[in-house]
Amino acid sequence: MTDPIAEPTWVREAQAGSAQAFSLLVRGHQQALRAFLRRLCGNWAEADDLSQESFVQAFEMIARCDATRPFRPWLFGIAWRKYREHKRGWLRLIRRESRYAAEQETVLQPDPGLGLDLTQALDGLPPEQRAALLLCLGQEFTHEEAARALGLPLGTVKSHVARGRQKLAACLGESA
Amino acid sequence: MSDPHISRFLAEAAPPARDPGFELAVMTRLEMKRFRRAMAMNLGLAVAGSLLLAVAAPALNGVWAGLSSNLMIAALLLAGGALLLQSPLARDD
Repeated sequence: MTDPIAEPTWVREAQAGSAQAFSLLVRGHQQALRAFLRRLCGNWAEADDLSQESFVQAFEMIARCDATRPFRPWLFGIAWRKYREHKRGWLRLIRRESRYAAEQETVLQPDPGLGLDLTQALDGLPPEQRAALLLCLGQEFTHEEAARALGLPLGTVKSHVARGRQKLAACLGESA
Repeated sequence: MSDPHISRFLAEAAPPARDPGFELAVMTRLEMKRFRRAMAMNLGLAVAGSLLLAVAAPALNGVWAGLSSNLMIAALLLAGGALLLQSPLARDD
């Protein structure tokens, strides 16, 4: 876990070019960022690679980070954009669209016999909804922090979280 | 669905709190990127310098030629002066 008191100092030192200070930020946030991207991507190796790229880009853009505000939403915002860029390749897009279309045709029915299948349920959510849910429920982001990270209006994030929870509950046959 | 339920599920994907391998990989990638950028900048400067020299070569040739003839005259004068200083005419004794 990161140190909220020392963090602004590390950010300022990293802005002055200190790789050592930045390594402390990496240490403090790698667990949460990787967990977020792993659930978002589904592929852990791909997610770890994206996490590394996100940290590298964060260091390159550190001058733009406001040290007086929490570092975490800013970092996760970079990771979210990286993820979207990564998924934007046309081949991936076609694959995703065809999968999405197939999912739209399938009516999700609760099936307690399948047992716990949160992964599948989560994968069925639209990316923005999934990301909002992962940040607010998985990483304990406030709605404001999640909105800042995802670059979405606050109301949209709140609705994504509420709908995401409902969908997961419906998939699992539980009441929200 | 309870939030602790989903939080527990999400925590299953979490790597260890300390992962020196990952931290090292990030810092290595960072240094590699810095190194590649520095190399690209140096290469760019070298190419730009070479092009500038190639473009300015005709003008520089004239400058060098003029400079070398002037240097030759100056060298001859110095040599003549040195010879005069060494000659019996220049000696008092």
